[in-house]
Amino acid sequence: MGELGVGIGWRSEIDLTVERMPGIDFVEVVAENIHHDSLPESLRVLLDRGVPVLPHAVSLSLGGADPVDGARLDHLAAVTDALGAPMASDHVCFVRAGGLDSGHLMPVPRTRDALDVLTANVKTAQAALGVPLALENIAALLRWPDEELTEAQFLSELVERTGCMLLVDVANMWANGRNLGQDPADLLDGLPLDRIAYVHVAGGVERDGVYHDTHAHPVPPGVLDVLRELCSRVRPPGVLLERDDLYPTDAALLAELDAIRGVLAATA
Amino acid sequence: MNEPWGIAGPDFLRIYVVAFAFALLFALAVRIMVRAGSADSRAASGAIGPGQLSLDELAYLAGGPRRVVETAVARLIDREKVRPSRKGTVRVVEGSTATDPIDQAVLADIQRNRERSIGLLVDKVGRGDVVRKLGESLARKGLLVGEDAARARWGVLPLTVLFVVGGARWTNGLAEGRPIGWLTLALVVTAVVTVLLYRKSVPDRTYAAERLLTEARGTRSARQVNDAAVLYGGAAGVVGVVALSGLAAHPDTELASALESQKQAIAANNSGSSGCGSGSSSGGGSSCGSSGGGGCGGGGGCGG
Repeated sequence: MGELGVGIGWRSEIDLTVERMPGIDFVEVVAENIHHDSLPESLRVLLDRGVPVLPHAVSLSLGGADPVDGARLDHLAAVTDALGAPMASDHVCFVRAGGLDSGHLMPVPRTRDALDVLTANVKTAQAALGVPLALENIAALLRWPDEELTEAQFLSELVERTGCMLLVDVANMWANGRNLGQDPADLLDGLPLDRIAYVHVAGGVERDGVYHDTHAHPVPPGVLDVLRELCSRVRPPGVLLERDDLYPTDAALLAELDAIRGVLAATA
Repeated sequence: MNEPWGIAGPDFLRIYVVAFAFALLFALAVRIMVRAGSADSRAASGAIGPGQLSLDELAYLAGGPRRVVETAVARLIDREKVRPSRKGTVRVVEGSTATDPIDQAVLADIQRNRERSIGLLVDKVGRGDVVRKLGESLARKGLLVGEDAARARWGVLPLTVLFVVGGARWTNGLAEGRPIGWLTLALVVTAVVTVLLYRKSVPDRTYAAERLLTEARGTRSARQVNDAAVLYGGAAGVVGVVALSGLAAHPDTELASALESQKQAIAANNSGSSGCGSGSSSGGGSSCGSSGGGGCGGGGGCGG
């Protein structure tokens, strides 16, 4: 896996903005939002310019007890292929159970049984993709009772069993630190950091004592602190800013990217 | 001889033609007078130099209500208060506000819809109160014909009367089996001219406005247009170019084509409200890009 650099989540609402931003090394697109037959013109422009466009799925529900939906997997594979992407990603979570769609990324109970199911699903996905699959840690508002493994143990074992990469979201780590009392440093201590594909950074907002990982608010300093913590241990191949709504000025987005670059430079 | 109405056929035709000429002159004179404005408004508009008009007023004169909105959109994009996308839609940049009432109307309309196609935005805000008030103030300044345009249509009244009289003669002639070939032709011509004049609306701009616009455009060279644009637009020449020539002529061609992609699709279903009549000043040389030569009609074909 080569160096990715610093990137931003491509969204159709900010397509021209992203295209015209200086210093964007790579972008990420939500796979479910595009079709492999008709890629948005903006992505073609970026691809022509040699900017890698990485597909990021949100609906495979790899942590669910149901088998992986073949159509969704085929879509991700086709999009990955159309983008010529060196990898694809989704989350360590489930979004569906018993045919019901939660509309949220739900945390997987960290038990050995759940890990077995997750491992099987990840292997199915890997077989269909043809490029490395990276899996992202999510932000949770709850913890399942009777958990047998810590998040670090759970993710490490998943990597060991499947050979998947890790898409480390430092904002989610920070959110879990705030909401669930999980110390991000402990998680970083236990993760196989050499398996990091890239890192997600995003903003959020605290309401009624709960931190929400909204991707619609500025990146709080605490999230950058987790990034700094991570970068002081390992040099991640890439760091990507996610912003999904309430888009601020170009200058504000650039400032957040500069802050990320600042952390990378300070820990180099 | 027992001529109908005591007038011989050829004499009637001669009288008819002369009367037609006067009626036509009357109709044209009414139109000209409407565009020239009253003595009061001439005095008011004559005192205005192009530099005394706001960019929005200039936009209204150049392209009607729609152009005003296009200009506001260009200004808001330029100031990073509105973000365009390749879909031809715009969104409000988080936290943006405006003090100008037209900018406020544009921001409010986008925010109500979260995301707005440029065509619908231009259409909706262009029909709104804020832009209408701008038009009314331009009419008060003697730069837009305004409500007088409807009155100008009554200038065809003499032609209509002439047609009715000729029609009576024609009916009479037909009944008495007299030759009516030439009269038929005269009546057809009268009818066609009357209908054309009635249907063709008087251009919205008064002559004073044409003069101001010509000065602003600087028809002689593209350089002057740019100077004028700089003169009017505090926010660089881009907004000035859009005010004079529309979003299609936005110097940022990528942006122009993105915004035009939807606008043209919608404008096709929605023509006829441009407020930019058959203006005599829609001079030649509608070269696209930054020169902004073409006057009316949204400069089709540009910017792609």
